Amino acid sequence: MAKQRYLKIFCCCTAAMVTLTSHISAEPWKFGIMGDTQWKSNTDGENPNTVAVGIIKQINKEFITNNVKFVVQVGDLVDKYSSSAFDTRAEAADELLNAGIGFFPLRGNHESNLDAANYLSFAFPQINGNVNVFGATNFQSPSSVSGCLSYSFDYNNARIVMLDQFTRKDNSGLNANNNIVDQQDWINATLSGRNDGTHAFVFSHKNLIGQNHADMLFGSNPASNADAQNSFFKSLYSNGVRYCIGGHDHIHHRSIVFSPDNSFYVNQIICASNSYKFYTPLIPTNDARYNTPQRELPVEQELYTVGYYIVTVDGPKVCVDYYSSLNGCSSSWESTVDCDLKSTPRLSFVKRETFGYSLNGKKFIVKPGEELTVVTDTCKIANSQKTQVAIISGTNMTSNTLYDGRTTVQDINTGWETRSDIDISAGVESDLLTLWGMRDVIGSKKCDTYVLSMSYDTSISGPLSIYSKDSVGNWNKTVNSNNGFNVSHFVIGPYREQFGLGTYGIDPATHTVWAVVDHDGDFAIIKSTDGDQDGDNDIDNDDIQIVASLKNKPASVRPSADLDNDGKITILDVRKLSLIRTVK
Amino acid sequence: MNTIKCSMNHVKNLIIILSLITVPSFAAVINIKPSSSEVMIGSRFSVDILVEELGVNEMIGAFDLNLQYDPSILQFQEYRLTNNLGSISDNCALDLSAGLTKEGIVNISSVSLLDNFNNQPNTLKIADIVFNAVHEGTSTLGLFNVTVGNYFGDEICTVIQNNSVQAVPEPSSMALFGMGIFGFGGVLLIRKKQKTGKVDLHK
Repeated sequence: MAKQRYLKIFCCCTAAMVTLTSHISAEPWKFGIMGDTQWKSNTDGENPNTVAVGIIKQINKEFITNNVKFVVQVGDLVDKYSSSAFDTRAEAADELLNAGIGFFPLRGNHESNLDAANYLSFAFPQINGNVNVFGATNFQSPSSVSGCLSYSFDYNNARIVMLDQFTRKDNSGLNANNNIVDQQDWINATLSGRNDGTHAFVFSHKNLIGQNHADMLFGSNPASNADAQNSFFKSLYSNGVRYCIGGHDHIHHRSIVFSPDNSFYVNQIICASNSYKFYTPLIPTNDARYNTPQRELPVEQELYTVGYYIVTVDGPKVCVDYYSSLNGCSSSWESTVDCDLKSTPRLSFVKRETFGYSLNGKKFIVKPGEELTVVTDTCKIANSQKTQVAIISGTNMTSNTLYDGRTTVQDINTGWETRSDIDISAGVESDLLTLWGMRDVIGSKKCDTYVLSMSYDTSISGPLSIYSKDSVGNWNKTVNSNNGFNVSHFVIGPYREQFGLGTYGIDPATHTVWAVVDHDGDFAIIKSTDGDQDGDNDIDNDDIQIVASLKNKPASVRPSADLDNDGKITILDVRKLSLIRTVK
Repeated sequence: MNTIKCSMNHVKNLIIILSLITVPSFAAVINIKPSSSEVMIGSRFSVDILVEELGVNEMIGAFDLNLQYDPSILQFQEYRLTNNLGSISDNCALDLSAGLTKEGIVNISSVSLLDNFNNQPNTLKIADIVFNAVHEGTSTLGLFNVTVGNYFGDEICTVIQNNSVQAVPEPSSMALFGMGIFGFGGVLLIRKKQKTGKVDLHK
């Protein structure tokens, strides 16, 4: 079986080499992440050798459709280790390999023994970087740690670091609790040794703080090996690692985890189940049981679903789409149910949430009830418009309450692209802002209502508005993407508290445009025809005369003439309109 | 009596972190200044509308105000806008005045179309209104429904200083009246002397 695999892999080498020479580009690229794939008994014939092949194949299709470059699995490849079980798992990845997609697995506690350690690279020779790498390069492993199965590789502008904490090939490291400690130097070197402006993603099977399992990457509970954890967190934080991704819990869970000494943090992603099995979070939480003070801020969670992740790397930006399907034991997202699957469910995946970050942006943690106005940032990219953004009003009012009773925080991230990198032909007049992490509840695009303000260059005149791209790539006024009841109204002047969702405006006094919105995503300033009264797509004296002729009339006679949105048309509206004339 | 009008809260929402320009919290004074506090009946006089104590860097971009007077004492003749907001004839400002809206109320209003107000002084006259005094008495000159906007069309808080003007008879009439009184008094005095024989005017 393994020999056949080598032949198949060999045939793919040519394609891989072609990919190797072409993979470093400025184009966005994707990789996939999948969770644990163990299966219990093969009652439906789809899941041999304790491998959830039925689910794997359905997820493979998703990865192929999404055109990912490779897939990472975070361990527990099988339920009961045997070489044939590993072969089964490897065969289940053939669809990916045949599509030119790499597959890079980690071991989990279900394949933690010596035999598994020694057979892993037979079943998955790509982890050594010799074959079937499909553009992945620079494979490294901690050579100073004998028999260790951790490895790293590069793809385009990212480094993938896979941490194995189980029994090593030389039968050392029998205690999984301490196996990261002697890898720390290698972790440091691997993370710090990459090029500037590149990403690093760290994967392990066990978590930093599990939601069900107390055992974790550094020991039997989240308080274990505190000094080693401090070193690990420091290394990740100092080297710009945003995501530490694990499995083990079969729960889609995102959180911000702080080091035991509270000096550093990293975002933890626990992958949803790809297995027959689902876990329920403990109450009280492992964080509460073992950590004083507690170290975890939950961001989002979904229980009892089958899910996968598509990570899009676009230059400095990383965007993660989480897709999941009901597990077949429930019929609604609002009441997902725990069960042990006896047969493979027919999965119907839905994008449940999107999150991300950018190397050129900022991160803000906003707890429930706190003001969103902490969010401010400036595009500092060379040759950019130096666009400034600020949330000028809004509160984190709506938070998700998790199964364990904790309320989620908003993990808000900003990112930038320069105007020249985006669609100038559409009339874009600013750098493009991406805002992640504003959404309230998983499965909904709705955010708390907030007011976004963006600056524009003082040399620009005429009406401007904030636009967002819709799902098919067309620019639309950002207020048109609002989720809640929306009364669109254009204002010239500053935002005022009484303005409701859908109000948007330009403030010539501060050279800013603003909009009252309840969604996140991409934002840019684009020239508009707001204020045009006679429909000829300009703002001239004819438009001013129309507004002037309605002096001291109620706004209801012509809402678009009430340019300060105070309910009546006055000389102030006339003056305001004169400020954004396009024809003088 | 001063009336304070401040319907806009300029700085409450100082949320524009990106702002380089801040709107000061102040109140401009709108002053009604008749050419004289005492005018003769039958004479034509003007009332200047002045904006004073504008804040630093603050400029007037628009105004709309109503002047109330006593039509039994004063008669509206005309209003004249200044060029401080831009020349009306050059299309640098709009005259949106309604003029005499009803007896005793004159509306004047203008909006600048200028992009640059560099020449606007800290105290400026925005208009004058010309009246005739038609009857004796005192007429209050009071402003109401006042809207003043700055360069950006944002409302400026204002303190209004109302005024009054007293219409009095013309000086020539007063003189004749005085002479008449004096003459009448003299006649009465002569007649009284004739009766008492103390005065002989024909001696």
